[in-house]
Amino acid sequence: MIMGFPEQKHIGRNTTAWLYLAPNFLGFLSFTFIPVLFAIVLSFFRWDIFNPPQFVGFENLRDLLGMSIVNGKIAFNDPYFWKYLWNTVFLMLTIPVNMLVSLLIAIMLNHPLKCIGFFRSIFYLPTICGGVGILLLWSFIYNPEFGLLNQALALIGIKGPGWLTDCTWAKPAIMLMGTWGAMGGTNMLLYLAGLQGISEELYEAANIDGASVFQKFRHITLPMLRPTSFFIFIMSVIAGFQGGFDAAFILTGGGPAGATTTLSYYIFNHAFVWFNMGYAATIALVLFLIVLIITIINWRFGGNVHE
Amino acid sequence: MNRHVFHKNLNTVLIYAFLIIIGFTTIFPLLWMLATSLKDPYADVSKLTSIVPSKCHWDNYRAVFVETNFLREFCNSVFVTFTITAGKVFTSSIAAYAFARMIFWGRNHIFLGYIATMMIPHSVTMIPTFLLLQKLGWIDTYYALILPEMFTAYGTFMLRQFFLNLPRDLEEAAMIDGCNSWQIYCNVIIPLSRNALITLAILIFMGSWKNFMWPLIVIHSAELYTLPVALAKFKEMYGIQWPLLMAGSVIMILPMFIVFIAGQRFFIKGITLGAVKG
Amino acid sequence: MAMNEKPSSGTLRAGLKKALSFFHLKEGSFFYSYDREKLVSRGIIFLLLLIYISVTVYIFSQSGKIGISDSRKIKLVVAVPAGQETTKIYMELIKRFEVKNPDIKVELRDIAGNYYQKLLLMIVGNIGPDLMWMGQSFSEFADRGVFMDISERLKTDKDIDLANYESTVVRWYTQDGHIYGIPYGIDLKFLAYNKKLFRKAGLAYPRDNWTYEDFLENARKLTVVDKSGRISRFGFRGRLDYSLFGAQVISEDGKKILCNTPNMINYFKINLELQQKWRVTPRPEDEQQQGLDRYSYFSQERVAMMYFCTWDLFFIKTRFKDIDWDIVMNPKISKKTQWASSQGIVIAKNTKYPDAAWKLAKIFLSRDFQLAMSFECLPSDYRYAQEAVSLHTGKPENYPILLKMMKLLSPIPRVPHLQELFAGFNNVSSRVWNGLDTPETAMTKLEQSLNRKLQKFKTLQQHTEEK
Repeated sequence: MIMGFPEQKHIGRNTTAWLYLAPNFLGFLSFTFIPVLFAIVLSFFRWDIFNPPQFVGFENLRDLLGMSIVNGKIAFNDPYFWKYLWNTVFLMLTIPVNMLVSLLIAIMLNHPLKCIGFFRSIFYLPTICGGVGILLLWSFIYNPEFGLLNQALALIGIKGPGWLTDCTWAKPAIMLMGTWGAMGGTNMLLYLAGLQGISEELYEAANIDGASVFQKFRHITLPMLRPTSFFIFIMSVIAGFQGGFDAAFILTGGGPAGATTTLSYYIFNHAFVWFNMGYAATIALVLFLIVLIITIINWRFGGNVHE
Repeated sequence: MNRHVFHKNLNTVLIYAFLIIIGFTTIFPLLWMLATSLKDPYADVSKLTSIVPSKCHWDNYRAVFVETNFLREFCNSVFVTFTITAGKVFTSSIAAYAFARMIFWGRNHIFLGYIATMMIPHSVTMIPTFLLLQKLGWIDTYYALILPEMFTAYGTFMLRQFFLNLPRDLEEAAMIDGCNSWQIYCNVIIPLSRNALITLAILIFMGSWKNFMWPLIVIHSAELYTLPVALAKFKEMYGIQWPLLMAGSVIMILPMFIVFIAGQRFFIKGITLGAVKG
Repeated sequence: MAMNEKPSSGTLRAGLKKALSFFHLKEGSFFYSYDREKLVSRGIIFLLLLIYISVTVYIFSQSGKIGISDSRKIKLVVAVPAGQETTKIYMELIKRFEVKNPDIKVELRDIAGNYYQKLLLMIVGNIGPDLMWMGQSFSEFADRGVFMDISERLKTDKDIDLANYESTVVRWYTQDGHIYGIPYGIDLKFLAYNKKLFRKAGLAYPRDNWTYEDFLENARKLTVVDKSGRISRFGFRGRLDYSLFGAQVISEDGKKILCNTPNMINYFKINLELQQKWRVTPRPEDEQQQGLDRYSYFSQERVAMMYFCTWDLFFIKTRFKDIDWDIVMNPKISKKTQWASSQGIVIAKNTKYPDAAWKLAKIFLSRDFQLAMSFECLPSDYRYAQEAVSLHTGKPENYPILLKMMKLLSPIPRVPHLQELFAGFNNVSSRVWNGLDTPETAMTKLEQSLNRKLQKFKTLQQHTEEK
C-alpha cells in the first residue's frame, strides 16, 4: 500500500506538481537530505568550529567503536559510548511494560460504558502536557525531602531514596516517569482503534465454544492486534534510541555517575559543549545505523503479518 | 439469569475501579502541581507537603509574569509555534496533494526518500543544520527557530495516505466544471480531510510547543527565548521556590491543554489515520 | 458532544438570527451561518488569527525599541553570568564608564545557567560578546583562540603594572607566552568551622599550622551519634583536595598524566576512610537523604567543619548571622597548597573595537571595582587585597589568612582540552565515591584513557603545526 500509485486521472503534471512539492522539498533537501550527507562527510573530520577542520579518515569511528585487549581484559576506546548505549537500551525496557499497560487501558475503554470519553481525555493528559513543565513537576515529585513519592512512601513506613541522585534508583525513576507519560497516550488510542476493528463475530464464536476471557484475549485479541503492536513497538524503539535528552538535561544532568546519560545527551555534549563536531556526527550516524538495523530486523521478523 | 446479571455488574464495577485508579494516578500529580502553584512561595518548604493550599496565592502567576520576562517568552512561543504549525501543515498538505494526485518525474523515488528519512535520528541532522545556520548568520534569530522546522516528512506521509483514500468523484466533477488544481485543493481536498489536518496541526503544535533542545542550541538572547528554555532558566534562578516554578509549568501546559480540548473530537478520530494503515 | 447538536427549534434559529443582525452580519459574510458548528469553527479560526497577529505585533514592536534609539557609534557587549548582586555592581561601573566615554555604548548581557557552554555557542554562532567574564574554564576558551592577545598592550600601557599581581595568577591567564587577560579577583576555598561546637566538644580552636592528625582527631570528637545509632552531626563535610596530598591529574606543562600515582591513590583512600572507617564525613547516600542546600548543613549544625568559597561570602553573611564561626587554613597533609579560581574580564579576539574594549577592560581592574567585588572574591591586586582585608569587619575573624592563602595558590595546567580531560577525572572519581570502583582500578583505567586522549591531542597539534 505504501508505494501504490493507482494510475487514474491526474490533476496536475510535472510543472504544476513540482510547484506544489517545492516548499516541502526544499525544506527536505536543506534540512534533512543535505545535512545527512554533510554529517557523513563530517564524520571523517575533526573539527571544533573555531579551528579549521582536519581530515582524520576513520579515526573517529575507531575512537568510538574500537577496542583492544589490555591485561587480558577488553578495553574500549570510548567506554562511555558503550555505557551510554547500555543506558539507552536499559531505559527502553519500559517499552513492553508501557505497551501492556496501554493495551490494558484500551481494553477497559473498549467497553460500552458511560464516561468513556471523559476517561480517555484524562488518560491522554500526560501526553499533551509533556515537556519541560512536566519534568519540573517530576523533579518536585522525586525530591527526597518533601516530594510526593517519598511522602507517600513515608505513610507506609518506608524511607524513600534520593530518586534522582542515587545510582541504583535514577534509571527506574526516569522509567517510571516515562510510563506515567506514555501509558494512556497515543499508543493507547492506537490500540483502541485496533480493538474497535476486531469483528464482534469472532468473540461470539468463541463464546459459543465456551472460551474463557483469558483464552479470548490470547487467541483473538492479541493476534488481531499484532500489526498495531508491531507499529507501536517500532515507533517506540526509534523514539527510544533518540530519547532521554530533556530528562537528562533538566532532571539529572546525566548523573549520578553518568547513570542517566543517554546517547542523545552524549551527542549533545560532544557537539555543543565540547565542540567535537566530527565525533558527535560519528556517534549520531552510528545511532542511525543501530536504529536502521533494528527496524529492518523487525520488519523481517515481525512485519510479515502486516502485508 | 440472575447470576449473569451479577457477573455483568461485577465486571462493570471492576472496570470502573480500574479506570478510576489509573485516572487517579494520572491526574493526581497534575492536580498537585496546580495546588502547589497556589501556595505561599516564601513559606517554609516543609509546608509544601500539604495537599491543599491553605490560602490561594494567585499572586504567584502575576509574579511569574511581572518579575521575569515571561510575557515576552510566552509570546515568542506562541509566535514560533503558530508559524511552524501553519507552515508545516500547509507545506506538507500541498506536497501530499502532489504525491497523491499528480504525476511527475521522480515521484516514487522522492517519496521513498521521504519514508526513509523518517527513521533518521534528530541528532544526525541537528549538527549540520546548526552549522548551516551559523554560516548563514541566522543563529539567535527567529529564522533559526522556525525555518528548519517548516517541513515534515511524517506529516507529508500521513496526509498522502489519507488523500489517497479520499473518494475521487468530487474531484472529477470539479475538474469537469473547469476548476484548476488549486481550486480543487481548497474546495475539495481540504474540507474532506479536516480531521486529518486538525490532528496533524495538534501534533505539530504540541511537538513544537514542547521543543527544548533546538531552541537551547540556537537561541541565546533573552528576548528570543521560548517557554521551555525560559522555564529551564527559571529553574536555575528560582531553584527551590517550587510554587513559582510550578506556576510557570502550569502556564506552559495550559495552551496545550486548551488546544487539545478544543480539537479533541477531531484528534481522537484522526490520530490513528497515518499509523496502522501505512 | 454538545457541539454536534444542531439547533432544532425554530426559536433558537430566530434568536441566533437576531443576535447576528445585532452585529450587522450580513448573509454571505464570514460569520453568517445558522450552522452552529460552522460558526464555532469560524470563531476559533478568527480567534487564533487574532492571537497570532497581536502576539506578532507585540514581539516585533518590542524588538524595534531595542534597535532604533541609539546614535552612539561604538557598541560593546559584555557577557557575564547572571547574579543579582554582581549585576548591580557591573551596571554601576558601566554607567560611570559611559559617562566618561560618551561615544561608547555598553550592553551588559547576563547569562543564566551553563555560562561557559552558552558563551561558546554564542561565539560559534558569530554573536559572541566583545568582552566576557572568565573563570575556571579559561583554557578551554584560550585553546580555541577566542581571546585577544593583550601582551603588547600590557607592555606599552602605563596604567597596569603586572608586578602588583601574583605571578601564578598571571600565569593562569597565559597560554603559549601570550597573556589574554588579568583577573580582577581570586576565589579562594576555605575551611569554615563552628566555634560553638568546638567549645561544646571541649576542643581548642584549630590553628593555622594544624596537621592531618589534628584534623582527624577533631573531626572524630565533633561527630555525634544519637541514641538510635544514626549520626546526627558529622565532624566534616566535603573532601580534602588532592593537591593537599601532592597529587595532580596532569603535570603543569600538560605533557604527562599523573593521576595514577601513590599520592592520588592516597587522596582517595584517606577521603574514603573519612567516610567509611571513621564515619566523620557523610557518604553520598547520607547526603541524599537529607536533601539540604550546602549552607543549611552548616547553619543547622549538622556538620562542624566544611568548605566554602569566597563567592559564598555574600550569602553566608546573612545565613550565618547567628552562628559563631571562623575559618582556618587547610590541615597540612603533604603539601601546603591552596585551591583557587579566578574571575576576570577578557576581550574577544574578533571584537570590532579593540581599543574601546581595552579601555573598558582596564576599568575592571580599577581599585574601586576590585574593592566593590571583594564581597565575593579577593582582589587580585595584592595592594587592594590588603586593603580589602583591612576593611573587613565581623565574621570570620580569621579573614586575613586569605592573604596567606594567596601566596600558596596551586598552578593550573594550561593544556588543550583541559575540560574534556577533567570531565573524565570527575566521572571516574564519582564512581569511586559511590563505591562502584576501587581507587586503584579506577585510576588505572583513567590513566589509560587520558593518555590515549593526550596522545591524540598531541598528534593533532603536530598536524596543525606542520600545516
